[in-house]
Amino acid sequence: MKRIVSLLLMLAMMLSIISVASFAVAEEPVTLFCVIGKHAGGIPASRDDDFVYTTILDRTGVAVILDDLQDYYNALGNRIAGGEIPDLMYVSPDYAQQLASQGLLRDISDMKETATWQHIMATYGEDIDIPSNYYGEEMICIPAAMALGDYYYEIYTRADWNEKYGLKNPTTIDELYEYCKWIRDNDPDGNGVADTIGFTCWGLTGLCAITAPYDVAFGNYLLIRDGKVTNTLLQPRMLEALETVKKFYSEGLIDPGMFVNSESKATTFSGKVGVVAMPWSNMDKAKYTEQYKEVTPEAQYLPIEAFDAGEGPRYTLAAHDIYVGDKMVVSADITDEKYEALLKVLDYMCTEEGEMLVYMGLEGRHWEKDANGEIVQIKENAAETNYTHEYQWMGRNDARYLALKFPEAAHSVEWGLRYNPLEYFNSSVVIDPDDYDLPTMEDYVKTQLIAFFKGDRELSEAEYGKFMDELYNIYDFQTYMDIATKQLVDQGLANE
Amino acid sequence: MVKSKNDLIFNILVYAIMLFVLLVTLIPVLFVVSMSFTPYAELIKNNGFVLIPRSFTLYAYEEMLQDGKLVHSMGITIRVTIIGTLANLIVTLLTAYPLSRRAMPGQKMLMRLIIFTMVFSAGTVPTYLVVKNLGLLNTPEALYVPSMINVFNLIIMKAFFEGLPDELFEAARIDGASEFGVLVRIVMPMSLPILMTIGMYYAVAHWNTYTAAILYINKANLYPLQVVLRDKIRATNANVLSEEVVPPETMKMAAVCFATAPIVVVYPFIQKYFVKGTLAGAVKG
Amino acid sequence: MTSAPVSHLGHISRWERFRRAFVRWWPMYLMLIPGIIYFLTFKYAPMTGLVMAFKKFNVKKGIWASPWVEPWYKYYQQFFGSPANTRIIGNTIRLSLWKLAMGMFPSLIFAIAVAECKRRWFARIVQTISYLPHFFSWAVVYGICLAMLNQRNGVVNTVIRKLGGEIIPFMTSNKYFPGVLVGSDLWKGLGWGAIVYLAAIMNIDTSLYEAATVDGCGRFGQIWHITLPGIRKVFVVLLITKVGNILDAGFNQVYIMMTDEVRMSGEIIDTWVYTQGIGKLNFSLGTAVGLFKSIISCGLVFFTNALARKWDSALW
Repeated sequence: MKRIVSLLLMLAMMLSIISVASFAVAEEPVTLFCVIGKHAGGIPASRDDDFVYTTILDRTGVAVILDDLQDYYNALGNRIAGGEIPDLMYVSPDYAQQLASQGLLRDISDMKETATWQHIMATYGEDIDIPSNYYGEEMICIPAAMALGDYYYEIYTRADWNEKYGLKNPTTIDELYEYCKWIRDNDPDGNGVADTIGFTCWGLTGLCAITAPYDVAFGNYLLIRDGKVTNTLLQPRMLEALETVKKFYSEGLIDPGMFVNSESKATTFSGKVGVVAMPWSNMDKAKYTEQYKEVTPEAQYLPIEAFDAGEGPRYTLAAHDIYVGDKMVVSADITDEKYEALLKVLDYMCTEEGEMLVYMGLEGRHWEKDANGEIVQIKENAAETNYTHEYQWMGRNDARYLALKFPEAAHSVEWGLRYNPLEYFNSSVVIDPDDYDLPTMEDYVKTQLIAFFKGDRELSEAEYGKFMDELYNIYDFQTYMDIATKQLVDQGLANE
Repeated sequence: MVKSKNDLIFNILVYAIMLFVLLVTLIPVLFVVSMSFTPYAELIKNNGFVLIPRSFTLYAYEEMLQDGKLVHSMGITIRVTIIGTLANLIVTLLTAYPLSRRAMPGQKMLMRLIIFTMVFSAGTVPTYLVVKNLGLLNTPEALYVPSMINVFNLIIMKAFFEGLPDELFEAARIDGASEFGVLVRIVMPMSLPILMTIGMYYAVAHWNTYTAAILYINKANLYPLQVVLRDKIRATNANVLSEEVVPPETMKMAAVCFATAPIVVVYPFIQKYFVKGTLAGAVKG
Repeated sequence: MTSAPVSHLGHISRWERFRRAFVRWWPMYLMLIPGIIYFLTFKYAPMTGLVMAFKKFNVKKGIWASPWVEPWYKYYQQFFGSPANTRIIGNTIRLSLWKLAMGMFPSLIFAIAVAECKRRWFARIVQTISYLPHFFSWAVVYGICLAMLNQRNGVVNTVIRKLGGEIIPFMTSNKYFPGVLVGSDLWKGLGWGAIVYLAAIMNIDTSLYEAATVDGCGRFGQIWHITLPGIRKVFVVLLITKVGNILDAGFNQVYIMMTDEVRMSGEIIDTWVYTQGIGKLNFSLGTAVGLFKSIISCGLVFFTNALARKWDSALW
């Protein structure tokens, strides 16, 4: 008897679930299909656990179905080839241009007549409406305030070693050399083995800690000097910079694993490095600090000023136009109903609640206001918000956002903005692959520069000249520079 | 019989080769397993790998399972492997059996047309368009239907059927059995090793499927195991994303072990079948 | 069992022949239907899509409505005109040849060792274990490679560092990456590749060995005079098949293991076609290069097969 009752009960329960489910289906919300390839925390596997989705659905009645694709551009290209174009796509500026040239994107300039546009400008700043959002006259990208990734790079030293051994932070390249040598030779970690390393960095970009003071970066970077378009490869102090790095490298002051980001990070975390040039996002987040403190509890990395090689201290590479970056674009096939829904969602993201939702999560669960009305993160649940950036379609006010979301790194975030960057203009130039094979050239430049300072290729004026000759003759460097110069002059950024 | 010095050297050489292969095969696997149980801090601290971890931790596995994605994708892979293998086997059997009858008119031409598809492929985009037009995109079926018959497997199976004695068929026909009857009641029981072998090939291919998945699956919650696994292994901060937290090496190794464990567990039970079947196939093929 | 006698064939009509064949074989044709549908749908139907190679493919218009390119060989011009093409084709062939050599000889030696090993239980264990890597996915093999070869935590470099040597950037240097590809392929396929040789060795008449022993032939001699000639045919067939597939350097493996740092040495035709053709939306260019590859491969296979026929060991 009991069994029958429980069976009936279960049946009733199932029926009610089914009826509720079918009821929910009945008033189907407008759905926006959207693909992104940002990939960090990753969206929860089940949509019900995605509080950004449920909140947006609740507030606007729009279901935003977000997919973070693996192998992003290949997967997206596949979908496009099959005509399965998502309503919204998060893509790079040149990819957006290419999509627009095939007539796949909707011209969203009419958005400018709406109240939503006013709200976007008010919340995210007028300066996000930039030329690269346009394809000819058409506006194709939803404007966005970009992350200041270029400014995340910091130069760190071990504050605990400085204190213990009475070391002074280096301020010039020469002092850096002496400092690294001291670290290499004096076994500061006291384990009796000569395994400490002077300097490591986050790939060639991190190496700018040493090269930027020479007004040089290792790679193909367009610069503008005295109104003239030039290239790091043509900079007067390039050879000097190469020689300096070579000196560091050949004497074992630079971690040979620096070319691989994960390796240089692991080296740093092993507690054996004196000077580290790395984005703070790889050092100062709670999870990472925990990792290196577990190995070396006393380790304390603090950011320091940039080095000087005669022209004043300088560090980091920064794109001229920081607002150039991946943006959200809208499919040409989107229905008016969906377009309206999109505006509604954007509008919601401009409200304080909406902005905070994609920054921090839900009020009361992920953040709260303290006595002064300041927003404070609720630490225990912070891990749940590791994917909200996937919904930051109009970007974010990075300085504010980072300080709120990563309070533990606030000092470094602020510090990074102080460095005097080497401003480059590559992102302001669009190279059509039909006109010039940029990746092949950049590959070659990178491998040869590395060969020069690693000693695989002789480092002399003559040999560098030979390298440049190869670049001009085999890789058609002049064509590239001509295209770039023309575009930069057209944009009014350079005179010639 | 006198054993010459040369023969002694020969024996030593044979054992040396065998031992070498054994170690080279096993050591990397053992390292991966042991790495997945090592605390990450110990790994960093030792400036490299430690042979025998001083302490043992399940941290990497806990962290990995917490994410849920790997487990979810394994569910999909298991489903696709079971359904896909059955479907593959049935269709391959139904195709290989008639093709093994050389007397059948059209057999030769069909065989040629099938082999032609091995050397001449239409390419990714055109195939993709067909899959899309059939409405298979973003369905688990997309992971096995477009690769329903593997021509190599078809040839092996066909070769095996060709090797069955003719008298068998004659006798059955005299008894008045239909062609289907012969296939089900006589041929199939005799072909158990080859069916197991081919089934194993298909199953492993499904377990390891990658290309079809990145082509035909564009929904994060439908990705099979290998796609998620590769993503986990490759995760290094390539771009500076402030939100990114890269899984430690130990977790990557835990993911590798997790994805391989089912194969290693099943392997000893079926290996005697497939060795027999593969040998048979290899001789004929 | 046999169809109508040959002498009758001339007298009966074509239709009649169909009818008779159908009456005799209809259950077989019925069985073939799913397979035929499969090959038509997924292998032959897409071939019509190859016209994309000569059209400026527009996603919105679809294949047929897209305009033809002017001149028709535009995408070939583009491919052969770019400095990337020699590198990619070179990488493909170099990688293939290395894999071919490393895929055949070590397996052969291993197979002989297994066959000659007198302790059968030991041989069986080694054999069984050596097959195992064949069943690992490339993603797993990639993980294993990282564990072994990483600059920092990798086993090999840890050992090198302990011995005081300079660490080797296996996974990230263009100098070593092709070696990693070949090595991992060898590791994965060594045991499995031996199966076919073992089968051939087992087929050799054992009386030959007995006779050789009586003649006072040593073990090395037996290998040289009996085993190797006995498996020559299999070896040649395999070699020829692999030469025919020389433009297939293993998409899955390269695609899964390649990172941007090693694109120079690792990029092969298949991965290039995929990233250019699909990732960068140059669908027509990708299809054109894919077609070029297919035609060359096809020609190679038929050529090598003709060669094999000459050697009296035709493949089919």
